[in-house]
Amino acid sequence: MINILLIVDNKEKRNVLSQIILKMGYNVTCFVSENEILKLISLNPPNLIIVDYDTKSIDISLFLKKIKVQFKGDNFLITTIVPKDFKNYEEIKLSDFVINDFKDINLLKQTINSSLKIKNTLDSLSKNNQELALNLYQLDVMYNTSSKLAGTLDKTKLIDIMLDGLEKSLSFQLSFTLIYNAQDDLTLIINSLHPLSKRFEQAIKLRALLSYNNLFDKKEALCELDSYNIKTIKHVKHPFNEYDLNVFNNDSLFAPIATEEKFFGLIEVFREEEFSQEDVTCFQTIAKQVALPLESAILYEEIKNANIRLEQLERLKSDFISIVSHELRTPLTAIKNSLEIVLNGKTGELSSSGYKFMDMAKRNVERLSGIINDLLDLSKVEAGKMEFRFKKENINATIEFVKNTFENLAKEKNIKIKLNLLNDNPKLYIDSSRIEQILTNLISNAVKFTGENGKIEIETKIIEGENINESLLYDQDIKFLNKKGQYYKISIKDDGIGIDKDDINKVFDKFRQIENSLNRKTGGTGLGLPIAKQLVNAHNGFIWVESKVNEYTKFSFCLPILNDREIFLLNLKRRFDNIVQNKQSLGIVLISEPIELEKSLIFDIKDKNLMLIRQKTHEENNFYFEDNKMKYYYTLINNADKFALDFILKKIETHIKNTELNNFCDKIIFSSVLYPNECDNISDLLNKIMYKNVGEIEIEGKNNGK
Amino acid sequence: MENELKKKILIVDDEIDIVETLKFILEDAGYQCYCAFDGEEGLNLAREIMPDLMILDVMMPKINGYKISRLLKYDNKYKKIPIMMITARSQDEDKLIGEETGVNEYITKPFELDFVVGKVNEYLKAE
Repeated sequence: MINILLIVDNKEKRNVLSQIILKMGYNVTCFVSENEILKLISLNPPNLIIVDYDTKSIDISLFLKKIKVQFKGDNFLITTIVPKDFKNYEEIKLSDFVINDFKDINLLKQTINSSLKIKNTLDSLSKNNQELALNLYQLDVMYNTSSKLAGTLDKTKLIDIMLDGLEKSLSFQLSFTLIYNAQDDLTLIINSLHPLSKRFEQAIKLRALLSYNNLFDKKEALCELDSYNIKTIKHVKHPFNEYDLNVFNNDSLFAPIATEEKFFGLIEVFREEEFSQEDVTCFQTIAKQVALPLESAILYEEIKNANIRLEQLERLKSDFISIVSHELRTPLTAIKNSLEIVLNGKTGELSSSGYKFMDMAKRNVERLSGIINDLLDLSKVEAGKMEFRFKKENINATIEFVKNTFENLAKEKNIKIKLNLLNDNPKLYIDSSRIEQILTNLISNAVKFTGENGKIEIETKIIEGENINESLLYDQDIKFLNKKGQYYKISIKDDGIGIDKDDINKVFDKFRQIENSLNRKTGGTGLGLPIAKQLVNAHNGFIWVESKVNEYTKFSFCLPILNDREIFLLNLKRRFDNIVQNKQSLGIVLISEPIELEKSLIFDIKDKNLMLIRQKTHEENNFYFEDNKMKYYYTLINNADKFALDFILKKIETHIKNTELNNFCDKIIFSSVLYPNECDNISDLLNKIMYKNVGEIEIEGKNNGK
Repeated sequence: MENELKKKILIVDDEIDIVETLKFILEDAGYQCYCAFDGEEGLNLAREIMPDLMILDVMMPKINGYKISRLLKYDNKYKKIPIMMITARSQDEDKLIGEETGVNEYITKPFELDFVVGKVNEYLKAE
């Protein structure tokens, strides 16, 4: 029914108007008191208001303002009737229509009708608008929720994000989520505004399980339900009131949380108001969206656990090898020494056959000790326990040195070793004793497998990372490849027996000697190449082999050419990796003034919920102290895992990128401290760090004058 | 009389076979050798005979090699005695501890007797 409010104090006018409107089939209400009018509008808003400008009891201009302000949201239209010669339109500018002459009935009717039409359109528009706003809001929530969902791999967080999104978009009273973890391992999460009565909670459990059984097509008897060990997590917003079974009478939405292949759980939400079609869509979307990341999260968890187990096994294996190798060394030493004494004739003259067999024993002891050394080296480098002493060094000198040690052996077979080294060679960041080991392994192989009068060529070159043929590398090596960087390539080429195509990559596998190869005859351990590979990898380089049977074999390895910053970051990364591997705490001592770094690093670490210990030395400035005119800032990070350290590394990396080296602190000492809690004060702690002195990273170009 | 001119080397290791071979070869090289088979015995003997050089094993009953090294190196009376440490471990961390405790030389098992004699000669003939 359409209501029209008349505000006319002239009785005659009022009667005429009322009758016209009534004849048109609309309701009319007449009022002249301002208060009554306002009350009526607020209780039962009219579709149209007709005001006579001549009404004496009311200041029309003021009144119009009042209702327009007070009932801003309501779209009612006001028509004002003005005298014939009216000019003061400014005063009634708030009215939507103006009629000069209401005696023209047709005009009046038309005005009323068109006003009402406009009113109708406005109303439906505003309704659409509201729906649109709600939809937009829901969309926004859905969007936010889905982007948040994509950002985590934590199962609990995923569920929280989903519930948060649902609560924002649907404002439910109560929701329960049943999450299926593993066989018969179920978690029920109840989010509710008010606490639940006991029987209600029980009922929810039952309802969740029933739905679960239905979805799973389980036919087990319900009495077994008690045996389900359901973990229940409750989040209650307000402590007062209590929900009981009647909540089940409210409108509810239900959805399984599942991908097409896998089922993870279900969710049901309740609320007093009915859910609209949009709500349903929103609900389904969010429930659907959570399933995929949940699947990833569960997979991730499984992989993580499997990885941990693997790591443990790997550790056990390498510990075993290293212990056994150590234990073998003592008796081996005693045998070797005894043989040496006898062979040297120090215990008296040996018969020639006695000498022959003693010599045989000695050779085999040496072989055995070679194998043990190789085994130990391999297990150490694989476990990340091998210590490297990286320095900027000229590798050509090392190559020449190793080449010279093989001269004699080569001469025996009349093999020529030719050096073709780059004269203008860059200094590389290497551990030259390990490089020596790599070269020894490669050159000794070359000498072994090259026939009489053969030729070995050792060559070096600078190559771009992008020019390295990835297909020659082992899969796992590719991650070391910095395509933008330069590399120093060392190749050892012989014209020996070559390696069969099928076997070519097996040469780097441990214990997988190529059958029928000369390895056995020539007394190799078969571990030389795997060790060389591991050592090259430890230098962030890589090794590969090219060969043609009966023509040549060419082993090449590349080492990165690094600038100071790269060296710094590489060191950092190695240190961190080492710390993660050994599950140690990390101590960072920053010497000098790391204000910037401190800002970007230390506080962010705190944000990430890492444990950060700053020991007090001075009451106010509790994270630095001075000693020998040096300022030490220190940060101890406890229980940091790989992700945390990666995070810190990134921080430092960006910090270095964004600052001049001079503004960076002079020196950073990284140290793995096992028990920082044992230290009473900072100097004690520092001593411990200094004593361990595991990593000191200095930045070149530092400002020593400070 | 001749014995008193010979330089004294103290070998401390709980592995009797290792001690025997070392003793044999060093005596052959013209040194006078004293032997001890655990840390405590070794430390006492060192203080008693004031050797010119010591060869110590790391892992020994009672007092380990590092501790002996530290005790002697921090004592003005004995700190000049060169100490050679025998270890089955070649881990650099060990060497770090060794440096801190004043070890002069490292011998990693299995070692060459000639190498040991060479090193000993370096320390004792230079004087």
